[in-house]
Amino acid sequence: MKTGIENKIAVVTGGSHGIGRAIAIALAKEGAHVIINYHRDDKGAQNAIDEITAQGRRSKAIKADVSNYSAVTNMMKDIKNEFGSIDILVNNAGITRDNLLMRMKVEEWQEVINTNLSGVFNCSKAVVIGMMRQKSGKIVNISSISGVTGVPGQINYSSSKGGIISFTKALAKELAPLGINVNAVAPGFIETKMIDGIPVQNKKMALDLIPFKRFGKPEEVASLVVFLVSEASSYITGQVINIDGGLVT
Amino acid sequence: MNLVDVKEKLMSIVTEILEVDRSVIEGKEDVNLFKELDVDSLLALEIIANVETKYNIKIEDEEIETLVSFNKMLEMVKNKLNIK
Repeated sequence: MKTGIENKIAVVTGGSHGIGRAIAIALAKEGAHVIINYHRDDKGAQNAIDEITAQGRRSKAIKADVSNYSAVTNMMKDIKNEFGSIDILVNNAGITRDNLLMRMKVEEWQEVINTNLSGVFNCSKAVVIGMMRQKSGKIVNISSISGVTGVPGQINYSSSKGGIISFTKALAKELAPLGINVNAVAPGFIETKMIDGIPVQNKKMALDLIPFKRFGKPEEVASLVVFLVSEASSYITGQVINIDGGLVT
Repeated sequence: MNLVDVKEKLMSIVTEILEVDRSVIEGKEDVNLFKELDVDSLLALEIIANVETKYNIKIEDEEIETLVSFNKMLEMVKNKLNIK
């Protein structure tokens, strides 16, 4: 399947490891030039851009906290000046600070909302006018099944990922007149650092609930994102697609 | 171009794109057009693109969000054309 994204300029937030890294590399394999935003993992970011440039694509890693509106605005401006108009934005940056509500600190709530949800606002706002002027663009927001179903012990994460779902639907309707697609993917349990910390017993319980009896791979999420930014999905917008091995039906 | 010409041209652009009579805008030049007339993204961008072309000016992305009323647009055009 030809994706039609050759030479497009793509930005992936949280692209230094895990799902974000897999998405960035997958987009590069399809011919896009990919800029990675990251927050802490310098080595991971460098490794990711090495993989992208090995595909013969242009790349750069920009360190910026997506919860910081000015930092994001400056980052997108720098990208536009160096690479040209942004065609694809993947809002992937996300953190967890799990706790039951009765023990959750205000800072734990706020940090997750600021990064996971406000980060999506900041990045989308910084690219939207450019996409509107082009009358084309693709935005994919990485939500989570936690946002679809709500997960105890994750009210901050669930709220932020649920908020991403509504954000996606509203923005899709705003930008449809300009031919811009906005969709979300909701991964289940994916083999990344984020689930490394889950106790073995809990992992086993999760596996029992998953019809495919395995966790997903970051590359599988990346394949779905590639589809959603390609020409083949031109008529898909405002949608949230679960990718969870059948966990939520 | 003088201020009267600038204002007249802008009125023409806005009323043509929004498909409204000038009486809808006159007397309400400070009203938020997006809320009052339910202007969507497509129309908003069409107005911006037309203003840029017809006055031969460039409107920066960060300036766009401030252009919510007829008078805000007029002020911006005046400043870019150095008209007092």
